Amino acid sequence: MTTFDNMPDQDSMPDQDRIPRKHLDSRVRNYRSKTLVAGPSEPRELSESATFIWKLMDGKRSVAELAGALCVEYDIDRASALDDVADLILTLTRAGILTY
Amino acid sequence: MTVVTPHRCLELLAEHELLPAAPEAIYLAGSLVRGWGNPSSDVDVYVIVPEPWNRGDGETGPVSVAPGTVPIHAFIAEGRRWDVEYWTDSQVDELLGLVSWASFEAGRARAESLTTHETAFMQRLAFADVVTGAEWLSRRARQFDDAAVKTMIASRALYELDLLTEDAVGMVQAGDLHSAVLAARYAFGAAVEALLASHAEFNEQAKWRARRMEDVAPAELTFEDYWAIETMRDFDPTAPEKWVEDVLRVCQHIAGEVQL
Repeated sequence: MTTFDNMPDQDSMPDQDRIPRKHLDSRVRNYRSKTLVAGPSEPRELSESATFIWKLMDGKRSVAELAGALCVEYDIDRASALDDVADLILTLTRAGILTY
Repeated sequence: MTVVTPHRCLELLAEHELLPAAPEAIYLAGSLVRGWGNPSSDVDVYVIVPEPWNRGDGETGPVSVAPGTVPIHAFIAEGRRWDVEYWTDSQVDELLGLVSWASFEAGRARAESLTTHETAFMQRLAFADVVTGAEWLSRRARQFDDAAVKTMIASRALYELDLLTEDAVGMVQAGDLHSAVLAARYAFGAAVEALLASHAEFNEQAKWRARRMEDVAPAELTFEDYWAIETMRDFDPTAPEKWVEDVLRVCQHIAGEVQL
């Protein structure tokens, strides 16, 4: 299955083994140290940690791997990192920017 | 790369009655100066004058700054065509205003309004071989480097990338794979142009893209990866949608790395 297929966006907490994938036509801009992402709706600004996760979402890393990287980068516990990654994935999924 | 000595350049301009009395600056630019020349390359000369050059028998190039054109004269010398383009210092000031951060942030500066002559003029300030007026040249090069031109041109390229990506995705969904492949190719070109512009390389001439990639060597995209897509090395005619998706993923990665 490629990302050209119509995959329904999920609305539940992502499983740690799932791999989030950006929609091919999602948009991104880095302007003066701000990162903005957009799908079909209005652009939204990402926080610094969300930008860090966004950049690691390469269609290969799982939720667990993203959370692991966040733990190391920001020296936070795994549960908090998983929550942060899950929140971001759900937000961006609802905005039509990615799927998992 | 030294194309011709300053003395010889001034001699040739004088011989062809193309040397103004008191130029602000004269410099050589273009592919020969960048070391990209070949036996059929032209010599591009820029002459900056305090007052408009009105010899009247040349051609003109379109620009957005007043009065809407710059005079261009051509001659053959030393086995090459020489193109001599005349800009007034006030036109340069006006162009600098058009690409200022103030204009960009007020939404008045749009790369679409710049002509190829203007883009080339600004790019070439950074790769010039001075004949006379070194102070003018270094001052202007610094001013344009500090302006919003890189961001303007990169932003335009990213906008084109967005449109072409949308097209390519829609075309695949509609089963129009030939069109999708072309849209993905153009999208990749736009992504690379955005990347190069963000590195102050905004020549935008597709024929020089490989040279420009080699010169800039951006960390965000290796030359090998760039060349593989530019030459469609991994394209499989039996699975074009796979190639389209792979290319659009690379484009997405590039867009995420471009700093405006």
